[in-house]
Amino acid sequence: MTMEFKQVTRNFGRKQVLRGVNMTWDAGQLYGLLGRNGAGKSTLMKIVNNRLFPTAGKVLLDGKSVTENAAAQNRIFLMSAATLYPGDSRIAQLFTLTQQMYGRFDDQLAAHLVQAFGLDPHQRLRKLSTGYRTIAKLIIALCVPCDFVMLDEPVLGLDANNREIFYQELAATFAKRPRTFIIASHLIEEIENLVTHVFVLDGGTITLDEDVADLAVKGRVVTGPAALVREWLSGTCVLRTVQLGGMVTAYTLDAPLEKPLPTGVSVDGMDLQQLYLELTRTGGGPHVD
Amino acid sequence: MKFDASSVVPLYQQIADQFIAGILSGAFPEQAQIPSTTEVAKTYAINPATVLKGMNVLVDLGLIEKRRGIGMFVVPGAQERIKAKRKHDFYAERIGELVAAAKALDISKAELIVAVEEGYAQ
Amino acid sequence: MSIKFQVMLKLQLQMMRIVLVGGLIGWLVLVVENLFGGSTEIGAWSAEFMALYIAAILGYFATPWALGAAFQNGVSRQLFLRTAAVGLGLCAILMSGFVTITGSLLASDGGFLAAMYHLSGAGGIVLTAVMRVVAYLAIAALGVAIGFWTLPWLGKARFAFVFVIYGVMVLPGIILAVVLQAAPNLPARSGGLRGWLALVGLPWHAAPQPWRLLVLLLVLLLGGGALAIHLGRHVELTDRI
Repeated sequence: MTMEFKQVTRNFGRKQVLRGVNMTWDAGQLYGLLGRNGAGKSTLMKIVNNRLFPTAGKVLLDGKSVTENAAAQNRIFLMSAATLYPGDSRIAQLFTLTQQMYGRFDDQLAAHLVQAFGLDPHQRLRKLSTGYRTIAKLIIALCVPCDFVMLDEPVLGLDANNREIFYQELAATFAKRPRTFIIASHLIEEIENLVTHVFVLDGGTITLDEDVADLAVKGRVVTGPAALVREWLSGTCVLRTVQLGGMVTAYTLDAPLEKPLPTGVSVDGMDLQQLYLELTRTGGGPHVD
Repeated sequence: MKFDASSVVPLYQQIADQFIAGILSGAFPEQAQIPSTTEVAKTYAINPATVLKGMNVLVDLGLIEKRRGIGMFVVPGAQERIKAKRKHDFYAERIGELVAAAKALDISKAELIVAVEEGYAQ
Repeated sequence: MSIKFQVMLKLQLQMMRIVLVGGLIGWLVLVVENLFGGSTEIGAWSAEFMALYIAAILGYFATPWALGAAFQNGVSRQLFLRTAAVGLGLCAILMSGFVTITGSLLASDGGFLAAMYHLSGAGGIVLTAVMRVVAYLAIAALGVAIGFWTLPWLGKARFAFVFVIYGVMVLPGIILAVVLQAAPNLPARSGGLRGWLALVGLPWHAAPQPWRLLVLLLVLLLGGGALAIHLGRHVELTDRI
């Protein structure tokens, strides 16, 4: 069970938003899709869900194009920022609607989540606050029987408590029924322990496609006197250096850990958020010292 | 339990370390059941696969065992084995580091021994 | 009929209901007004046009509205178009029945269409009803096509466009009605007016020609339907819906 992206391109007028996206989503994984505002994350997800067509390229589910493929679409779900349900529907009616459309719906989980978040299932969607509208959509997304569930900005408008509940419930339901989740979020530090693999979309292509565990091992922040840091890092690719007086902080993905570390120079790990920032910073770009 | 995302120690290893510390401190007594993968994953919002990988480190070390259909249990003698391992690591690593640090600061062997004795006396 | 088809059809009808109920209430108000104020040619004309206008809005607004719910639930465009067609068909039949029955209140001879074409008796009523169904469907299909085509526009622009359509549809009719009221014998002398009448499918000879209008409407339905299907197969959902 895999979703394959082959040179997926999308233009809006003259603007090229996606310029040949290639990646693969496997079964039973929690992926993070990262990218700056306007990078094309939503466009990419909408192409998978058939809300948009690709200008060129293909998205294949088990080798078959997902475009206008009813069987494939039954296995795909996209929870997006836009609320597309009829506004006067009650939450419980939306659960029934989803059940009828997708054939199945995890009623038990829905009942549990409604209680955990404190959502009134008899309320009309239109009357809910932004946060609770997101919660209603999230509950549906966690209860659909789909193999690939895309969550575009899943915690939009949620307070810290409800965000925590969501992350916990996502981990729990994923443990019970493994399926693939793709989370596009700007709150990287909140999902970094949940996702095991990240994709970074930048400039219309995938610029990073790595396991989080591998990144954690690779990412290093080197701090110390400028001359010593420069010498120790000579010949390695550095993402960015920040100099403050005689002190230098360098961000790198391949620190020469086998070389002895000069006294006065410290090497620390980099969290996903920092790493992402360094990778998607405009201007500068990686350079070899 | 607390996890540090910017640590160079991988998350699964951090999970394993925390469980080992828990067994050593008696928070997870021998023969007792430890929380399931799902429970840990849910409580700390961590990917269940990562939690499982961390638990498997303990299984490989012979500290916990799976009982089919019930869960994971602390093996009898686990605490002793952890203590022995820690002792071994202490002599193998910490002493070397301590002496090297003392040497860098021109602390003599006699001075260091006195300091250690004072430390024990407190 | 699969469950997905039934559910999608229900969603389509839910969206269409909002337009239909509002439109038909307006239509009834017009009918009642005519009853008390004494029915006039212009009033009958307006009522007839208003029904056509409701059909246009059903296609232009109500049909694309359902698109969001469709794509949110993994419904293919093919299924969406089929349920939209069935939904519009049901609405057209309902509207035609409603207009034909209440229209006969306007004039003893069965409303404007019947009077214009000298359609009388049971056969005449059936023919006017059929003509209306085809007319509503044709106009709705064009509405769907334009609705899909303008979907990427801003909401306000789409809304303003409705008034443009209204103007294009209704104004020539009203002007024509006024002209005919003022000078009933003018078509016999004016070639331009005769062409105009032909354009909106009205008889300009002494003898009524209802079949000519029906054929014209059928051509319009086939063309509009084909255009709607073509555009519907490529319709996309931007966040502007």
